[in-house]
Amino acid sequence: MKYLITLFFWLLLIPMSQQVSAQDSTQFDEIRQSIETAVDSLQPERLIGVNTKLKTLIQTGDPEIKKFAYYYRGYSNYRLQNSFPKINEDQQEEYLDEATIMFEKAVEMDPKFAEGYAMLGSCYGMKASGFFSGMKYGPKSDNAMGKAKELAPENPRVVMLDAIGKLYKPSMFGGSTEGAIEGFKRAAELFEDWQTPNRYAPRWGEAEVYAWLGQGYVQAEKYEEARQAYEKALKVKPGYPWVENVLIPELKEKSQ
Amino acid sequence: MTHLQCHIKRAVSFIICGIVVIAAVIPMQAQQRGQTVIKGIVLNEKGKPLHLAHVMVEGTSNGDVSNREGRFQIEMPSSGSVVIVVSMVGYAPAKEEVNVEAAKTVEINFQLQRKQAKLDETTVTADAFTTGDTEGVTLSPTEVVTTPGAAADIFRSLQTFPGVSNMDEGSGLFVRGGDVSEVSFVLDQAPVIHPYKYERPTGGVFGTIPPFLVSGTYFSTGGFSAKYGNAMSAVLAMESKGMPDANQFDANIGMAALSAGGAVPIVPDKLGVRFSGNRSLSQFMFKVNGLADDFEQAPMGADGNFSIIAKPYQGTTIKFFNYVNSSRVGVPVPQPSFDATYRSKEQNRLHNLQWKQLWSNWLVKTSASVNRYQNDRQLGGLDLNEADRAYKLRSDLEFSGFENMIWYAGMEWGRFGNEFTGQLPGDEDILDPTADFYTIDEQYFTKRLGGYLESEYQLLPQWKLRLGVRMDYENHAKEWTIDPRISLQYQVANHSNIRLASGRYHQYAEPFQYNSATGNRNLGVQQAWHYIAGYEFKKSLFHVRMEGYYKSYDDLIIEDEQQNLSNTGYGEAYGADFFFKYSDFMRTPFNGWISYSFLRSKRLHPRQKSGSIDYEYAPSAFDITHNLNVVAKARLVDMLTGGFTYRYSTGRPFTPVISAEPASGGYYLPVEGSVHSQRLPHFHRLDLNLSYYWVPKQNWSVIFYTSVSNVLDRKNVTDYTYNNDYSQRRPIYSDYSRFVYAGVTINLEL
Repeated sequence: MKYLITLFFWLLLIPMSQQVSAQDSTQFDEIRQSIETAVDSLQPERLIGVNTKLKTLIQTGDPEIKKFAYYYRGYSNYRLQNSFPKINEDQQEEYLDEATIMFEKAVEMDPKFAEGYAMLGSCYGMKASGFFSGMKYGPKSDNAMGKAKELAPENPRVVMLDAIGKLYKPSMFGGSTEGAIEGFKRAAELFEDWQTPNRYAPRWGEAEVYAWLGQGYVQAEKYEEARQAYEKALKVKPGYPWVENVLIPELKEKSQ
Repeated sequence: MTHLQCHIKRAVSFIICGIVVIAAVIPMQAQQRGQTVIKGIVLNEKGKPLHLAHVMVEGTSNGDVSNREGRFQIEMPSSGSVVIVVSMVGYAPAKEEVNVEAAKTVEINFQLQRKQAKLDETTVTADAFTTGDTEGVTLSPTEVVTTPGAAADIFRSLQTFPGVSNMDEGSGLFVRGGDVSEVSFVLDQAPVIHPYKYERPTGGVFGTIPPFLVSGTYFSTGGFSAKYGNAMSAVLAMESKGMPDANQFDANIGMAALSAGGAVPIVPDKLGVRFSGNRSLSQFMFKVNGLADDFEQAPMGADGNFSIIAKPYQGTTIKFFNYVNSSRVGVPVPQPSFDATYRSKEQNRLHNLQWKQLWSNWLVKTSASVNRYQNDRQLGGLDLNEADRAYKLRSDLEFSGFENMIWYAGMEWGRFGNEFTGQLPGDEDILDPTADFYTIDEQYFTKRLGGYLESEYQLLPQWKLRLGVRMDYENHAKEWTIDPRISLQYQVANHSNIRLASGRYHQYAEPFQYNSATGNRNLGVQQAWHYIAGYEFKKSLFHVRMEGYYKSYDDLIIEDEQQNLSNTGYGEAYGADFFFKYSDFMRTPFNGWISYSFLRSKRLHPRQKSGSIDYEYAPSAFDITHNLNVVAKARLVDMLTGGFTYRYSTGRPFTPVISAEPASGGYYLPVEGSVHSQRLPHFHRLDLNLSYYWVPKQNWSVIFYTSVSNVLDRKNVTDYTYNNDYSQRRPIYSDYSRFVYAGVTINLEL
């Protein structure tokens, strides 16, 4: 009888644990969605709310959940830093610092976390804005991005973030518009066949890569290609506000 | 009634009751939701609304984010006591307990304070200048090596800061009226007992440690923390480079030197090595500049470094640093009675094993080091071999587990020795090989023990306090010294602060000064008090510092008629320093800095007078009233940069010879006037440099550089020399006439 009772409890626990994981998974799905919705709707308040939910997830004992909680906290701060032009520059710097800390923690938890390294490399890259800061953060950015590429050379977000770095870096530190365009093209191809490896993993970037490709073309003064890239972005994500309201008007202004 | 009817009746009654209850409860809840509210405004430290602060009821997910007016509103599902937490990136969180009553609105406002930067000694002690790649450093490593006239030397770069006097064209650090010997030099906790190459009384020509081995420096010109002992004026703490993160190699070919080095991570993030070698051959450079005749043996030397860095476990770093350099020089030194050549051969070795351990909030750094120095000097009949040793154990502990407080503690033990062999003149002023000399073979040792305890508090958001005490003991002086140190910083606004600092600083005699023949076995410890008040403004591209100070010296070791040496000296120094810096190298098309120092320094000087000693309180030898440095660098075209450094200083004081008395053998002994009653002519120097950065591929760089020192070919006077009977004097000019140097540096990352 004792064994039967034990077995009964075990049988009860299995669906319960599955339920917990399913809850976390659902929560991450919601968080992913909330971040993207907040960014698209230009509502930073919503992102702040997401961040708070993530703070509680960091308290969890599950290292996998904790790692992704750090990742998404970093990601929401990363978005606060670069997607809301109305936030003042001082505060944007604070968000970038916070994002950097979060990604550093994420890769500390899992030294083979390619997505974390790629974001960390991107954060360092944004800090390397001048010669002096370039001397300091440039190698750090290269190092983190190098690790990401080594760990996941076929991950489209890794390839895309590396290309974004190339677009902004001074040529003496490895920047190149042509190199960036090639990188965005490759990332776009990789996105087409990309299978998300687990239920927590990030899923953003599929439309964004075309937005970046368009910007690469704008920088290279290839306006027709840029227009096509933006159209493709809108096809992947209909009504994409960044493309529709910001990038396309900018392109029209430049190409006239 | 049938059984079924009974069941139906019960069910209907139950439903009706349920509807009644629900009908009663729903409006109640609705009423509460509509009316029980916590609202308010979140402000920043200046009282302006904060957008995007997160306001939350603690322990729940109920909250709001402040809007552009800083306003928030939280609807409460229930009444009672709750804690509201407000947080925002970059600000310290705030929380407050509020009691909410049903159907009422509670208003509560929050004022968030900016998070304070991590406390560290550079922010809380008095004035300090830093180099390195951390945030807030005064100069980056690139700036050190691109400062015109600094010859890629750390010490020479630091000379362009306020508080350091231009005594001559060497690299000696004379800080705020103190002697060059009053500065303590530390590398990774290990003492560097001979920090200069080609030593002379005013320091040396270069610093011993090349800048390429150093990742950062901390240079305090006064009011420094209790961590540092046995220094009355200043501290230069250097940190050697750590674990390499990529295969890096560099080579430099210059007119006077060839060097190469590398850094290899053998096991990434676990084990790495750094190595470098440098060979200086200045003969060619002096020939090009027409100065070959100034040397009997042009300066030449070699140095090598090998470091192993291991991180075997999380939080553990073990570094084994080894450095050796040797140099030699021969300079003709015309003497009144004979033509002589001064020859010097030096060797300096430093070995340091350092273990750093980080446990949660604890950081422990322990070091065991050996520094050995050997010098052979010859001039006329003088032939002196000096061998100095320093063995040291040091441990420093840092605890940052408390909010707004950091504790520091440490202990050090050292054994220091001087050994002299060779022959010395009977009369120190007569070096003619035919005069009388005696042989010496002497060894002297001292042992020192020291410890400190220090803490930093964030008293209030705007106030920081650093309190420390240091104790030292030396086996000859046989007395414990207790040095209190205090620094207080008030944050006037976001970008400016006021600092006050004071403390007592002790320094022991050198081991050889305890000898009974020419020294004194009973010498005590010398001491100085520092009083400093300063203001700093740092915002965006601008950095301004102003500091006033007063230093008093007591128990200084000076010559004594009865005891050879005694602690009867005293003195004082006071002045003001000003520093203005604009931007960083290559951050803007133009950057640079201006430093100005005003100084008055006086000391009690002994004077030999026909068998007796008189004392005179007069300006010290380092009393350089005005010091001005202007450093400017500009990006000229593409990656071509140019810059200049202009240095001006009041001529240093000297004691004139006013007559001479005949001595035996046709020699004359000089009769001096008042101590330091005259000054050398003012010092001026303008240096230029030009560099071109070429990046053939990512992480590779080639730097072509050329410099012209003393562009105006100014003949700066370094001293006066006299004829045989001292009836005529003529100036001795600096060796640094107009001088051209060029080279190329290649950096590769593989």
